[in-house]
Amino acid sequence: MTDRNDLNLFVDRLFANKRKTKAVMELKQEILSNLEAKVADCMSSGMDYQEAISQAIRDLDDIDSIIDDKQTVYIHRYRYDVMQGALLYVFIAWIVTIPARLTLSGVMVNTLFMVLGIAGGVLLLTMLQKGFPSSAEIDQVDTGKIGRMIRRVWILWGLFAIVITGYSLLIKFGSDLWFGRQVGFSGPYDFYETMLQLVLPLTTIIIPLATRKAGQYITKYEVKQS
Amino acid sequence: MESLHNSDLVRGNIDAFILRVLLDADNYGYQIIKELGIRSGGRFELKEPTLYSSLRRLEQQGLIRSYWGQETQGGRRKYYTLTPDGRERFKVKWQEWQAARAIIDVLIGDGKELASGDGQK
Repeated sequence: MTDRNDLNLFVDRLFANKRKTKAVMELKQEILSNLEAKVADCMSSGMDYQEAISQAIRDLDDIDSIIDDKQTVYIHRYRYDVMQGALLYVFIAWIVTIPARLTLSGVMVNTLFMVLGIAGGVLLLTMLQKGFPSSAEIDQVDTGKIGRMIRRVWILWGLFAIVITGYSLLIKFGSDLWFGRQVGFSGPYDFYETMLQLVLPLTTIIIPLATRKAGQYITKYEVKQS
Repeated sequence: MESLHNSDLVRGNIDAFILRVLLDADNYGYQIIKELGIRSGGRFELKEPTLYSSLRRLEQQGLIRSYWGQETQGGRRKYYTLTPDGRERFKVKWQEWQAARAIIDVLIGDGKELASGDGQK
């Protein structure tokens, strides 16, 4: 049947950027079957196929208002996993910045990650002891709010990365450029130090990455109601 | 009547319209819209987004429940049925409407329409 395909395509597009939770998928199926009924009804009253399709989908341009932003999740398991994910990122950052300990700022950044890792580890152990991974505790999270937060964190981090990189470059090479001197490095250590200065601030990318994970885990821990 | 859909009197009662349709029989989304169109003689057309948010709200309030139909052809339809709470709520809504209608007749319409039926002064 061709009309099923056209409507399928329409509904697929309508839901293209939506979360794939059970509730949302059910809404999609419900909308599709109602559209099919509407098209069949319009055609049985003499409308031709194309007309029936456009008539059916006329009022359905945006479904954000009907998708529920509130999502019930196993809140303890969710928090535990988010914490675990964040901790993993901190450990990766810690290991990656070990070679940076040759410089003072490198030592500080690396030590910071280590302290964060230990603090996070203690927190995770506390959660484990309280039985978070097997807890049936449920609560609602606002996915709309979390989605907006993730976007904001990425934007902030992007701005930070641009500004700090530009700033470092300016400090290093600005005066050379200004006075028309040749841009260069006085040796491998100088080069290494410059690179570190550029790269170290970017290790903060673990913040938006961990936030993004927090968004993804919502679907994983949703409470599936029948 | 263009203004009918934006009238607060109508919009404020959409949930009750849906409860009324479901009081007669379990039904699915498009058929509810169609039923409202037929019952109003084509004067009221419920838009899909309004329908879906209404249904979701009613379901969250525990006034209706949904189940999937057993269609073999095409997509499965989601049917809605009134819960006992839903019946109760409709009864209350119905009484509210009776009382409100009486008072609106008097306060907007002077009460003369009720008595004479011709609405003229």
